[in-house]
Amino acid sequence: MHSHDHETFVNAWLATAAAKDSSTEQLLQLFEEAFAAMWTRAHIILGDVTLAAILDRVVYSAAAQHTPLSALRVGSSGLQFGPFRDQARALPPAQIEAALRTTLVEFLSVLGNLTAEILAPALYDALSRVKPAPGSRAQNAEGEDET
Amino acid sequence: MNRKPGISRLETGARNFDALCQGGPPKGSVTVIAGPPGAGKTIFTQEICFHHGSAENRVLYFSTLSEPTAKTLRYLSQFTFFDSQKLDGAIQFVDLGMILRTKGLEEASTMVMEHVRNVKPAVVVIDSFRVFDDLATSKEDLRKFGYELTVNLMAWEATTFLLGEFGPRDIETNPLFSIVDGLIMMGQREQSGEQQRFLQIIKMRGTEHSRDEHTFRITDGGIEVYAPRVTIRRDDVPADQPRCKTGISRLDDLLGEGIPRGSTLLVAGVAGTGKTLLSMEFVYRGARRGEKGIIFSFEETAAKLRSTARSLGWELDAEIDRGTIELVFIPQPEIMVEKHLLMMRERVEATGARRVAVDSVSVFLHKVQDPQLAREKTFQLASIVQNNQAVGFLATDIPYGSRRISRFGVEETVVDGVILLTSTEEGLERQRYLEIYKLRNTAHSKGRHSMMIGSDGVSVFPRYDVEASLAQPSPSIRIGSRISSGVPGLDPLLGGGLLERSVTLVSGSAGIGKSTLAFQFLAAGSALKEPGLYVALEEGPEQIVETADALGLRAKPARKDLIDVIFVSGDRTRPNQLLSLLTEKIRAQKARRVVLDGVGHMASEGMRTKDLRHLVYALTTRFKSLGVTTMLTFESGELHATSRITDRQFSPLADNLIALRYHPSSKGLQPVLTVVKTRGSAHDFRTHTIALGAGGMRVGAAMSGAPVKPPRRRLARR
Repeated sequence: MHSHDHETFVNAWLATAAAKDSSTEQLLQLFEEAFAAMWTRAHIILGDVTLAAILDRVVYSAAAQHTPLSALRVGSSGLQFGPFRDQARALPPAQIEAALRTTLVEFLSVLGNLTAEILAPALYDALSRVKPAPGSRAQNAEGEDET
Repeated sequence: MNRKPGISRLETGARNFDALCQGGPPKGSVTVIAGPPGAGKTIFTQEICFHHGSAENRVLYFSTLSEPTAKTLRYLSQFTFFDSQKLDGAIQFVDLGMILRTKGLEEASTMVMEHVRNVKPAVVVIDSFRVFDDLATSKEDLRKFGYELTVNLMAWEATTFLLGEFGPRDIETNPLFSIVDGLIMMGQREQSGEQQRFLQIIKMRGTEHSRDEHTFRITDGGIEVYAPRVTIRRDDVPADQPRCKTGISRLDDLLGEGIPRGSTLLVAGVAGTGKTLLSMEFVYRGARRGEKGIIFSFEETAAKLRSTARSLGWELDAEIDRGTIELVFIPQPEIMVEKHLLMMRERVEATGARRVAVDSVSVFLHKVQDPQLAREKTFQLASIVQNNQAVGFLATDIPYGSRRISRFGVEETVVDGVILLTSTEEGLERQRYLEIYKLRNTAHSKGRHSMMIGSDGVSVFPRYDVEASLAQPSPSIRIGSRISSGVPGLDPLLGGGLLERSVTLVSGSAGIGKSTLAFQFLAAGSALKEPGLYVALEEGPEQIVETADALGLRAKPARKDLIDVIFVSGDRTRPNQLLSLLTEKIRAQKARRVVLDGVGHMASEGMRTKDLRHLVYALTTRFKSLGVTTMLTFESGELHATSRITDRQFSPLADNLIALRYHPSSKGLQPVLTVVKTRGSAHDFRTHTIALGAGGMRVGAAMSGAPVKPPRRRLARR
């Protein structure tokens, strides 16, 4: 697997999990749940110190491309969106989506490199179960109410 | 079965090290390089850094309190791997000393990670990590610090090397060693009388690594590891390779179909038995046939070997100039077994040598005291030979008075063959012998064979029983073709002459005329322009010739005389040499008639009757196969009777038997001749008088009754 594969998966997931006109808050919530789900899944095997170190690197690298991400914090239980959320509300959703997508792909790539992609299937499974909460999804293009 | 993902590895660039660990430490791993000061840790690591450092693969080298960065750089510059252009770009040196002295572990760790984040290095070195050990307040503190640092470095996929003056005891007590992925110990100690540097891979996760200690040295190129146990592995030799023929005189006759390719033979013997010469000639003869060879000498210099070769008339110098032979001399004090094993492998591969001589293995391994180690090194030498599908001759000294065939008595178990060279005192002289003691997968000759070192090298004289087995079956005597005996009156008694290729035994007491009869036999051939060979085993050639001249037997002028008279001394010539010598002589001269005069004399010189009988059989069989008609003379102790032709039952070996005796008469003793036997023809059984005078021997009237005419047969006569 390569970064390209992770990127493809993340894009596919995002296409189903996020509506085209999702708000910044909706995106923040979605990605926060995504990171939490993958942390929970990987934590069992790798432990919090290792995962924290990896996330620290991921955030650092991603922030080099998307400056607002430098507000993300890595804690003992995973990625903390608190300070970042405050800053992100002022940013357009597209920018938030791009930044967080980059972070997610980078996380999967680094983790894959360090573990020879052994965890990739489990992480994909965890990520694919992350869907927007009922009522928070916008109506689709056909106007159907799916809540 | 699922394919397991391979582990990406970091080549160290240190010569032969990566072979110990499947190509290098795993990328992203954390390895401790431990050892006392001066062990070589820093040089090893810096070699890795400069091997990898580039714009894409950056290196961070953190120096703690052990050696300030300025000095480090100064010492580095003497190595060939040092590239100043890589400094501050590809390789960044960071001094941690100040922050460690003033702020402590936590801050130092933070500084390390800041640099790591900024540089994103492929390789990180912390030299020395022992400092953190000393600064930690407790083992737990150290464990936590070490763990977090290594985890963070791991997250950045940096292959990390932590250097430290740790010893074997630290491995058991220091928590660092349970955290890290790899551990390499370096050190030095005395071994076999000299200071040796060692390294050992104690641990390397995810790697099937060598667990042995390996010697290494520090050169201006960096670390050079000697690991022949790992790097010299045996390959298989294709089975269809043609066997090797040495080209050394008659040695190949003892080696069956030849030496299998890939074989190594010990050439064993005490000092002075000819090991060096045999080994050198093996390579030389190969070069003359277009096979490249290499001689590794640890005893004699290249100049001395060349001089020896010139004295033997060899064109060794020309072969060296042509590139077919390489001479490598390593003085004994400079021998380093591991290093020179690898050198030998490289030279053999580089030259494409098909013949390899090592003179001698005993000197090469003279510092090795452990028999098992000697065995291992000999095996590695043999592996080098096998892997190049060459044939190797390894000279080895046998201790005087020892019954072994090698120094330790184990080396012969790992080679494919052994040639044993011996010498024994025989009379006032020392005789050399060669024995094919062992040669795998080859029907070789057994037992000792005479060997000489002559003016052009080694000559081997197979025993005559071996000669007989090597010879083509001798053709039968030609019934239809007779030659003259050269003695007037004798041919009619023989049914018209001697059959070609027959063997005639002439028996008689001393002075009765055997030699004269024999010379006349050759003179008859010479008159027909047939070369003849007179081999005197008792009298000197001058006496023979003088007698022949006195009787007017030799052709005039001398140049028309085609008889070659030679004297073979039993003191100087072993029986098994005789066959080879005479065969060469007959072929060279194209002799058609041969006389062996005084065969019985060899028995009086101490040869056993049984051995003499074997020799005579071998000689006569060989002469027949060469198309030669032979006459042998034996002295008999019987003056009168013909009841016993020879004293030692040699009669069955001959086709024709002629007895010369004295017949007592009223006028005294009358010399007489009786043809006792002729194989393949009728003959006159009666005893006839003989007379010796000018012109040689003449056969007279029969002793009793009228002469009996031989039966009429039209036989071709020459």
